[in-house]
Amino acid sequence: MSSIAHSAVRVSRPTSLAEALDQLADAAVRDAPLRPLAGGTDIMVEANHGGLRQRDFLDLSGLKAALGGFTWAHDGSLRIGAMCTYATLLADARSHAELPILMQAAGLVGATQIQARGTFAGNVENGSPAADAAPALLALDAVVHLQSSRGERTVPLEAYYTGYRSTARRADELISALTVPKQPGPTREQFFRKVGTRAFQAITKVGLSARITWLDDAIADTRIVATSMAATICRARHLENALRGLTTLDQATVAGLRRAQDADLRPLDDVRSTAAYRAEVFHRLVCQAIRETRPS
Amino acid sequence: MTVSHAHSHLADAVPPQRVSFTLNGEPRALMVRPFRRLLDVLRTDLALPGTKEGCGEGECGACSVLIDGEPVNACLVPVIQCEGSTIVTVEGLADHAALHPVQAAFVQHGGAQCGICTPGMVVTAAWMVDRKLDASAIREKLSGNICRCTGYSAIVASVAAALGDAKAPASDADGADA
Ligand SMILES: Cc1cc2nc3c(=O)[nH]c(=O)nc-3n(C[C@H](O)[C@H](O)[C@H](O)COP(=O)(O)OP(=O)(O)OC[C@H]3O[C@@H](n4cnc5c(N)ncnc54)[C@H](O)[C@@H]3O)c2cc1C
Ligand code: FES
Ligand code: FES
Repeated sequence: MSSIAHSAVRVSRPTSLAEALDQLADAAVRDAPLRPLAGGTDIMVEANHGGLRQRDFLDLSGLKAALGGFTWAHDGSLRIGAMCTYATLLADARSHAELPILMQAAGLVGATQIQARGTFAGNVENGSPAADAAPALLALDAVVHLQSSRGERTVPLEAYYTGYRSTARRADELISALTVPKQPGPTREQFFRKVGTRAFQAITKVGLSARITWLDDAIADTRIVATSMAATICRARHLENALRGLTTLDQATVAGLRRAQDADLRPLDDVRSTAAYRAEVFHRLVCQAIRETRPS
Repeated sequence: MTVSHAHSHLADAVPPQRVSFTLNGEPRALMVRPFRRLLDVLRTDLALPGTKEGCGEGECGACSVLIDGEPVNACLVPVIQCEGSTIVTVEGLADHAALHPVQAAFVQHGGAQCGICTPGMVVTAAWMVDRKLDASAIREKLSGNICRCTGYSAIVASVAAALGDAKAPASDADGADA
């Protein structure tokens, strides 16, 4: 199928959430799904490169009142509306104080212009294995809220990706929000590192988002999220298991961590980097995260 | 590379839709195909060629304009998303004959060479002045604006001057690119 030209794209711009959900439902029934359009920073790159495969879009820019912004709930969780941009959340002091890795990730997405337009929800739904905000959200146990004219359901981000760039979202559903629960431990336990060709306007070659919970001198619990190491962003389960109970980083432990990592993650060679480089750098980032999150 | 497929697929074209916004202080209402890039609508339909196209993929910032006060890449904005918004392009920065302080600083400090990146640089810098950002943030906040010519030092000095930073880092010791 050839690509779709800009002039051939149909866009509907509902001004209420109910209207948007009705349009999504109708289109899904007709088996001609509408593709949501948020900040457009992924979609327009596809379109400008002649890579567009859909003709029918549902523009969410008229729903900023319903879906823009963020709220802190009484239980200390953060709800990020689907149209909340990076720039919007980066202006929130409490997010920096409580969720530093989410703010580090957001502050390294593209540059100023991309952060003004790009959304967290768009980053999650786009499903790139090289995404920056989605892995930070995953390390923080975020949940995806999916809304349709039938109601709302929630899916843990951990269960959201079903394969390369495919998600649990159904054609009649919209991501309405993402929630990040109150974090169990101090912010020192959060770790984020993106490795690219430079700090800004660079796609991640390899990245680690982690939360490492320590009890006395031993690791009690972890979230180890790998970026650009597999077909999707993902938690490295063998590695998480190997880390539990760890107290020191002696040679034998470090070798064991590497074996566990290799059981979880088989990165690829591609235009941005090599499998060997990715695996080695990821391994070193894990060791760095252990050292930096350890209580002093 | 400019990638615009408008001519090859006209047979498929959808009907124009009405989009209204405020552009450089004036209310405008247009009939346009909804997914056309704001960049093309500005340059072609509205005869405002100040906004440039460098890459067409959000990397270079030559197409930067302000939408509701925020710098965005006009090559990544489908025009329908501008409904009800306030847009300022480089043409809208000067107050008649009086240059915007950022423009005056670029003139004074030699912030432009070939000029392709300049409208985008000036627009992003105008946002920085508006937000009263600290001069220490210049390189980071301008990192979405790429310059092929200057090596950035004169640009950074121009923006620092516009931000009122007397100790403008005219020649950075590290010489690192923004
Ligand atoms: C120059 C440049 C640099 C970039 N740098 C980075 C980077 O460093 N790190 C990074 O992670 N990304 C980067 N990106 C990618 C992009 O900016 C982010 O993924 C951004 O968060 C996408 O959000 P958006 O709102 O623009 O999404 P859109 O382009 O509007 O949508 C992206 C996808 O999500 C779907 N979608 C959006 N909102 C919803 C919703 N509410 N419900 C259901 N589906 C939805 C769309 O249908 C589409 O498939 C970059 C892009 C550009 C152009
Ligand atoms: S032309 Fe828009 S960012 Fe380069
Ligand atoms: S002056 Fe030529 S690209 Fe910047």
